[in-house]
Amino acid sequence: MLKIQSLCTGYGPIEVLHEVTLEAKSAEVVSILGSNGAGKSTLLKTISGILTPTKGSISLEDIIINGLEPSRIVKIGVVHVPEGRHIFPGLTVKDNLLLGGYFRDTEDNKKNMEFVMSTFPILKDRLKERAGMLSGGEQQMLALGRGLMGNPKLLLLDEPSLGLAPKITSEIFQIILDLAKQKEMGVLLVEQNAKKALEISDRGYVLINGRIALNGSSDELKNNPEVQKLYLGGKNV
Amino acid sequence: MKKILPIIFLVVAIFIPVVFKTKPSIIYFINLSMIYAISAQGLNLLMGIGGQISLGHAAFMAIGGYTSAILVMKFHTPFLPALVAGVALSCIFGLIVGFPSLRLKGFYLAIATMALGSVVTDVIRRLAITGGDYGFANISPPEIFKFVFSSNFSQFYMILGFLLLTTWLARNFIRSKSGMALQAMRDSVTGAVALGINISNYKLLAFIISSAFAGLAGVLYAHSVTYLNAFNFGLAFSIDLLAITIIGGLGTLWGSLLGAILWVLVRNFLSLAHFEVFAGVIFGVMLIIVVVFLPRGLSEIIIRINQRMNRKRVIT
Amino acid sequence: MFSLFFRGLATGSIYSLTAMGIVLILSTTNVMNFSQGDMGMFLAFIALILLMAKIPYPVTIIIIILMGIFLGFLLEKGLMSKVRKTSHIGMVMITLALTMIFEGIVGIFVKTPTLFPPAISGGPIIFGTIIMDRQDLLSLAISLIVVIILFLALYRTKIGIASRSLAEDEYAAKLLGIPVKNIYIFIWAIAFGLAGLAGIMVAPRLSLEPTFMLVIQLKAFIAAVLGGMNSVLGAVVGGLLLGVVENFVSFYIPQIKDSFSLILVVLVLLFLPQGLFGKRETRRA
Repeated sequence: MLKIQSLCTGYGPIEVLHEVTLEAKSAEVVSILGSNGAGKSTLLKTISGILTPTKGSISLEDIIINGLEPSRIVKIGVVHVPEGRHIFPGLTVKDNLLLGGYFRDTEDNKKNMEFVMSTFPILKDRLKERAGMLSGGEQQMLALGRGLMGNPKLLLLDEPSLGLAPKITSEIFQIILDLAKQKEMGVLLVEQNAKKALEISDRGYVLINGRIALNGSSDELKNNPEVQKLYLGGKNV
Repeated sequence: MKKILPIIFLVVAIFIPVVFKTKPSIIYFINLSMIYAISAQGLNLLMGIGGQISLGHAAFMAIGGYTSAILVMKFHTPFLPALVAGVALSCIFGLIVGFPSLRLKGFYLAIATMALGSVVTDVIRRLAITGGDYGFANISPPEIFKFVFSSNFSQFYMILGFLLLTTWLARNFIRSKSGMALQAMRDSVTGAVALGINISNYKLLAFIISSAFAGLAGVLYAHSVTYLNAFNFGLAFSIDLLAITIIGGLGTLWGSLLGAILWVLVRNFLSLAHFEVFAGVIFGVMLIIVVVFLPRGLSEIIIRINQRMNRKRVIT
Repeated sequence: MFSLFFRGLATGSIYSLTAMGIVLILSTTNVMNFSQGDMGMFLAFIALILLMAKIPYPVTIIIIILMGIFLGFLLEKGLMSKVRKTSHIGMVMITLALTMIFEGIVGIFVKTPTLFPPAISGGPIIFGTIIMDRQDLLSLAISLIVVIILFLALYRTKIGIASRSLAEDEYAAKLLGIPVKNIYIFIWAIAFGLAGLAGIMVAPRLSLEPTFMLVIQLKAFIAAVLGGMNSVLGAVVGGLLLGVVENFVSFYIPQIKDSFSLILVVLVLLFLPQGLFGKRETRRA
């Protein structure tokens, strides 16, 4: 469904992504692993349209999306949930969610709201509260829920576990996995926490210095000695 | 041989008064342009090099001018010491305004300088010694070592001297360590801090230097125009100085002069045709044109000419 | 005493209207709009022409507000959107250029301070020792209505909520695909509509001349700082507060009448930069 071919992106003269080629299918969770500065966030930003690639192509269900405005890309069905959550703290939970469905009509939004609230019951309780008052985990759920309001075909998640306790992280990751299968969404999961990421993904890519260094199924990656050494703490998972 | 333009300029400049000997009013307006240019140069250094914003620049001119005028007229101080005092007092106020700049972000600083500029002119208006709302009239012309610069003609050369001095100072400042530090800071504060540059000191320095220039301009203004009124040095004039700086070219060496010349030219051309009321509109439109099309203002033209001249040299 | 309070409130409401325009633009587009006051002045001038052409006062007010909305739309669409890409500070310069242009245009026709007719004539309303000027009453009433409408727009309409989200987190708003360009137009249009209203409400009290709104604008900036430059509610409260306090101060200590607010703003900027309702931003070195 998502096809990225020889993608190169940079900030001015500095090239961050070199010849990145990857794929993701519907109902599939794909991990993007790598250390800080490897280019993981840059990759997501390029897909969602915040950055424009200098070379290469990105297509969603055969529609070329590289070079388009973020608003168009969202309408096509790609939603990027950014690192650090970036919810709107002064707005209510409800308003945050509604903004996620800015382009959908009221009927769709009603349906999606109900779905989001059944997936994240906590949000239902806090609907009228200001988003800034929520805990870290709740905010992450809100960010996710907001993303889901757009009915995405492809969900880009940037470090959803950042700053969250392990228990919440597991909860959220399980929800992500269920969502992918239920809604037949493709999920690109960028994560520092490689162990948890690989647990719920079908496949994974490893980015080193802006290049795809490794790729394979999650099992392959888990058992790969390099991956174990660099990202999994050296132990046999 | 990039030096050719400045030399032409210098020769032309020295002969201007001779050419216009029969029309002292034209020389008067040229003098005024040069004075504004000196003031705008200060603002140019502050904004273009230092990356700070000030909407109270005219107030420093007022401080310099009034200080010198009061010292000369009421305390019978000779001109040169009065000039130094005017500049010094401006610098002190520049330092005072500089302190808030250490803690305030861009637009907050704009408001603070706007308010401080207004406070200064307010206070000046209230002091009896300054003549209050009626202004300070009949300020005597500059006198240095028994020579009185009483005519527009003689004042031209004095002001030209100061203009060249300040331009030379500005040039050296831009290329100096301090100038480089300021530009680094302007472009990236985090980068500058990482390089170990002491941000605070340089910010204060930028304010002091820019207020020094403005103070000097104020002194020259006081003694050549011979009339001061605090009302004329309020926010409107500060904005005019800003426009002069931008239209001339922010961050360039001669932009302030170009902008000032254009300013005085347009004003007086219009008043000849009795259209002086259009001055504001024309300048506003010019400012917009510069912002949209000419990032380096009128200096863009000079820079392009310079480039073309240098290119020719390479080919031959 | 209450008369002082009431008068201060009325003046403050003008500060609030102007400050709201300033804060709306600043929080969503990051531009300091120095033309907020003069746009009001220009529209007041147009209003005077309309009134002299015997157009009824209420109609004039509506026309002025609509004109402001249209001019705001024009400015963003025609100029700001183009300059935003190349130079952010250029947008601020444009607002300065606008002040020069507006003052220039009006200066061509208005050579001496001109009297501006009030919306309501008739003497002040008196309850015992309380004196309330009719125009003040009207301007307070209209301001209140406008503020309510504005808040409804910001909290209940899609584009209003989107505007607030843009003010809170530009990056996230863009990621969600929120149509930022439309919001800019929306905000500039509202701001200039507010400017027109402020201009026509206060013109009867000061006289019409090219610089009559500059003082109001300065006070509005001060009110915005007081309230917190990111908060529209802060702008309203700050404006009213400033109006009232200023009026009391100028009555009891007339000497510092003009400088009072100026010194206040410097103090606030130094010691309470986020104002009453703003968020504590990290101050850059």
